[in-house]
Amino acid sequence: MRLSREKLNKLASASTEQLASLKYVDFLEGYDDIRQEVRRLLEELLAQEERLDKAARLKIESQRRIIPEGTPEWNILYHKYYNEEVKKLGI
Amino acid sequence: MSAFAAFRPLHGLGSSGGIAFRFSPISRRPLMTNYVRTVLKFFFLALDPTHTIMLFSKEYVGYLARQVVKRLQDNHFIQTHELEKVIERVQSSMVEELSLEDRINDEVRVILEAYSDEMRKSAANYQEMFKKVKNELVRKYKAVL
Repeated sequence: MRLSREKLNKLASASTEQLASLKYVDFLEGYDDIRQEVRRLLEELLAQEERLDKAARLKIESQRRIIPEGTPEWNILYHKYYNEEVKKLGI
Repeated sequence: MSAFAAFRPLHGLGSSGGIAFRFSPISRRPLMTNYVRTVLKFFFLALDPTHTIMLFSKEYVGYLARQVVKRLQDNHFIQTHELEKVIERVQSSMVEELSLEDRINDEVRVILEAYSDEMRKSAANYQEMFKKVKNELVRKYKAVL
């Protein structure tokens, strides 16, 4: 997971707060139950995202020459391969 | 490493070939294509050791928001007749939270820019100052990075 536990909690809280603020959303469960469910869903989805990250890194590692991480070239390739993986999700 | 040194390895772009520049026959001034402009922008940002970009792309955050909202609805945690609007609002709040560090970094740069003369005179280390000011702002905003 590329997000810390604290950040994940913050993200879940922010999303739940947003949902609660919308007039056209009805909560069928308690606020805390929904926040915890959002957190669980995010955790699940972000575990999947980790695979995109790994796939992008693997593609860079499989290049003929070594491209050190953190260099501009690495960043550009990472961005490109990562987005290719994102597209596979059907976005 | 100079900025120009960093350009050489990328896809073999350089003085010897590639697609980097088109030259206007009159001014001989290079006209950058959109592609090259984007690459250059990314290069300069990447060369800045204090620069970070949001961890996930906006497209991916959109996907996250959609999945979360749909699953909440499917599993009977919430009910709404305005699914698209809800997804859009949740996406905005996620982007805001995930880009918090970028916004703090931008604010640090503005602050350090205002003190650039003093920093130069006292030979202060930019990266150290960056860290200190950033920590101050994180405390001030009670931000979770």
